[in-house]
Amino acid sequence: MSRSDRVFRQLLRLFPAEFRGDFGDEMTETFREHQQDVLARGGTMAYLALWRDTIRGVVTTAPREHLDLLRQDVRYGLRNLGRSAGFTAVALVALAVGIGANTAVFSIVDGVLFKALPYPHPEELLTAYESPGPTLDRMGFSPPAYRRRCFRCSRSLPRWAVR
Amino acid sequence: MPDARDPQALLPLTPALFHVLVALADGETHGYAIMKEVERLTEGAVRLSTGTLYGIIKRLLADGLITESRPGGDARRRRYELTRFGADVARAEARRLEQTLTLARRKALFRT
Repeated sequence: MSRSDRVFRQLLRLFPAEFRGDFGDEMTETFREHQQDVLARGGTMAYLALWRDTIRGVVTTAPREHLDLLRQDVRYGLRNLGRSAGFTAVALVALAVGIGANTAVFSIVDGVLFKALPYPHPEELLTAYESPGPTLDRMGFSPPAYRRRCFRCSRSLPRWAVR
Repeated sequence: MPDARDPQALLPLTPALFHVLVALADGETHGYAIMKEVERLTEGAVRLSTGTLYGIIKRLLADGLITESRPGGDARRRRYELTRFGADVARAEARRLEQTLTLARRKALFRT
C-alpha cells in the first residue's frame, strides 16, 4: 500500500465504521485510479487540487453519514419502544426518576457548594471560633464573649454577623 | 416488478445526485467511471470527490434508485445500474428543471 493510500485510509476513518465497511475498499480503489489519472496527465497543481477536493469531500460527507446513522438508530429505538407499551412505560419512569433525582442533587450541591453567599465580597467571609484549650480546639462564642469581643474585632473586620 | 412509489416524492434532487443518475443513464458502470462521466457531461464544472460520490451512491442504493453488482465477487469493483424507478426519478427531475427554466425564460431578463 502506497503512502497516499495510507493517508486516504486514515481520512476514511472520519466515516462511520459501517460506511467504511461497505465502501472503504472500493473508495480506496477509486481514489487510486483517480490519482493515477491525475499523475499521468501531470501537474503538481492538479495533484494538489485532487487532495484538496478529496479532503473537502470527506470532511463534508462524513458528518452527514454520522447523522444518518444516528437518525436510523433513533428511528429503530422509537419503533422498538412503540412495539412494547410496558417496556416503554418502565423506561420512561426510569428516565423521569433518574433525571428528577439528578436535578434535585444538583440543585442542593449548586446551592450549598457552588453558589456564592449573598453578601458583598463573599470570598472575604470568615468564620470566627474560640480556642479554649488543648482538648477543645474550636468552640462557638457564648453571648457574653461575643459582646465582649465584637467591639474589638469590629475594628479589623468591616462587618459582623451571628448565626 | 414496477415500483409503486411516486418519483415526485423524491424531488427536488441535489445537482450532484442528479448528475450521478444522468451518468448512469447509458448503462451500468463503476465508481470512477461515474466520476469521469459527470466531469465530462458538465465539461469540468462538476467534479465529484470520492467521498461525495460514495455518499451519493449509498443514498441512491438505499432509495432503490440504483442497484449494485459485483462481477467476480470483487467488492472493490462494484458496478452500479439505474433501476426503473431511478430512471423515472431522473426523468421527473429533468422535467421539473425544464419547467423551471421555461418559466424563467418567459421573463425579458433571460431572453437573448
